Amino acid sequence: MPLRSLLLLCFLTPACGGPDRSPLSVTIEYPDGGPPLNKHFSFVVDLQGQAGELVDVDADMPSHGHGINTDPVIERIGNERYRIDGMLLHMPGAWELYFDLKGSDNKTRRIVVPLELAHQ
Amino acid sequence: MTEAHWGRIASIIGISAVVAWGSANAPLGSQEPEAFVRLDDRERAIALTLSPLPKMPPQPSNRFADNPEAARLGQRIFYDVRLSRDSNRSCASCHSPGLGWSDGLELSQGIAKLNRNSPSLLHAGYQRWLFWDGRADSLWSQIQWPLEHPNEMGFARADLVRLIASDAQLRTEYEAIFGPLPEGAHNPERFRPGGRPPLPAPINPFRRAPSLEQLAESDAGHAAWLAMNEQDRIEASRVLANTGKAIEAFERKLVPGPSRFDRYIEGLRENDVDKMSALNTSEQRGLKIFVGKGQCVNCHFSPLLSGGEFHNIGLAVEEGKPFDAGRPDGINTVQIDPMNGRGAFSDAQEWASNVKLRYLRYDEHTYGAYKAPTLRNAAVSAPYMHNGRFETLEEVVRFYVELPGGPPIGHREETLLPVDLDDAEIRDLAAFLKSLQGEPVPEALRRPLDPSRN
Ligand code: HEC
Ligand code: HEC
Ligand SMILES: [Cu+2]
Repeated sequence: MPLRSLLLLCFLTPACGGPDRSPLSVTIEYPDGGPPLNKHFSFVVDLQGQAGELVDVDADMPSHGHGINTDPVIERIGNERYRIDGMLLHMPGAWELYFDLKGSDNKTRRIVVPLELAHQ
Repeated sequence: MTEAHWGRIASIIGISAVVAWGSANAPLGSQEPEAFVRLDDRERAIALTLSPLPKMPPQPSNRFADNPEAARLGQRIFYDVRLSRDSNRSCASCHSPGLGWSDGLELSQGIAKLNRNSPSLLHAGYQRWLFWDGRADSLWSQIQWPLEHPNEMGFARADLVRLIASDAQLRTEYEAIFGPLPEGAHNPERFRPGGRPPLPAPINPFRRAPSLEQLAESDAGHAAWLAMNEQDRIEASRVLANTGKAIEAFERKLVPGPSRFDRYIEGLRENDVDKMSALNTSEQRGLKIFVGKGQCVNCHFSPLLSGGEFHNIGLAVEEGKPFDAGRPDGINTVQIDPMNGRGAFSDAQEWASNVKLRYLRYDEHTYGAYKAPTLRNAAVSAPYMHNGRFETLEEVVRFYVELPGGPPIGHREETLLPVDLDDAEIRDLAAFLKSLQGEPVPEALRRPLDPSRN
């Protein structure tokens, strides 16, 4: 049984829902030991009742002005559950993970999950 | 990934996973002798992640990677000058054990001058990507470049087949490991002199790649290749790949022993002052800068002191030097290389063994980016950088202090800000870099098995 944990969240960016919407959240299940530094890894995202379909996953280091060097692949593994393969966070420091959800209105909204990756 | 794997998923707080810097206090308490430089908790936690060096990672695409007979054959071939068109240079000419497994030159000199600096081969077995632009995904496939490039060794895989066939010792050793050489291996009508395919060329969406027939018009080696039959071409490529696998087995042994820095870190971990004195105060001050205000560990982290990925640090192309795109060419080339981990000669062709190729992203922002090299060989691999731009480590450090000029292409990563260091600190940081050098690899690997062929 996967123990899930993680949480969620959203910072109230425009991509993250307006005043009339509750903040978006997703649950992320990382592999043992958490997201590894500079190694390919897979993880599971649960949309937790967010309306929409996960259409893109990406990541950046905003303060470094660059993204990731891989193209992660999304696979739907359950109703609201997706497995992401091919993520690689190649530097320690402040990352942002991006989850783009396409709603039934065909609009894409972005959930931003900050992640501080330590030296390992 | 198996069910079982997912069953082990642990719970992690993904947001702001707060860094546990460890509660460990610096070992020396109040009566800290002057000989020791105090690291704060954050610096210490980072320093501890830089040592020891882990075991050599497995290499599934080469099932002979850790085979001692293959390593022995690889050593024989590594030093053999017959593997060049002019029978005058071997791998060791540009990767000489006495010159830090490099050549001491700004830009390497083969049959003609090359446009990049020769990297040390120490720790090469740990690299995710090979070359400054990462255009090879394994050490065995890497050898096609120096071996067959007309400016480097100018050799050809068809000649390699005949060479091995004609040398009783090479032939016996080769066949004991890889099985029989192809039928007709002696025959120059089949394995034609100079016969080699074009090197993998990056995909260019704006220009159709020339056909082999077109290339053969201006290159006798390609013409010879064209004249060979399909099956012999495959066999010649297999011999090249197997030779590469033997060389890889040899290269994987090129790992220096622990360095003074490793001993210091062991001492830091165990609170053992004796071990910590392996670094003098200047080197310890340099370490503090390296993990602290110098921010070097942003890119030079983990026990290799490098993530092995690609960054644009803005080394402007100098007057008179050739244009060099860097990483984008590497990405485009490794994906179409018939000798990559997915290719016919790989011992692990499935995607699961080739995740680095599977998810590789082409990104034009990587123009001007080069591989961050391991710094463990820095003391012996001068001159430095992909273009051999700096002669000393002091000069390299001064570059990071001043960050002069701009990149010729792309843009310098915002990570890099000029580091504020005075002259004494520059010397300290350079001294620290030299302390990373481990014990030389065993003498038995540092010389040819057949002195007459060197
Ligand atoms: C004429 C000089 C020359 C010869 C001969 C030569 N090399 Fe190199 N080698 C270089 C240069 C220059 C580079 C860097 C080229 C680049 O990045 O584009 C390099 C890169 C490498 C690398 C990549 C290391 C890394 O960390 O990325 C390996 C491994 C290597 N050579 C092994 C060999 C082997 C094995 C041979 C013999 C088959 C050989 N070389 C022959 C000059 C040479
Ligand atoms: C943004 C990432 C980044 C940071 C930060 C960084 N480096 Fe580098 N370093 C690189 C890259 C990339 C190269 C190779 C560049 C090239 O050849 O064009 C390199 C090359 C070097 C080399 C040359 C090694 C060789 O064998 O040629 C040394 C030495 C070095 N860095 C030391 C440092 C020190 C000391 C610091 C901190 C002051 C530092 N680096 C900070 C990315 C970085
Ligand atoms: Cu970064």
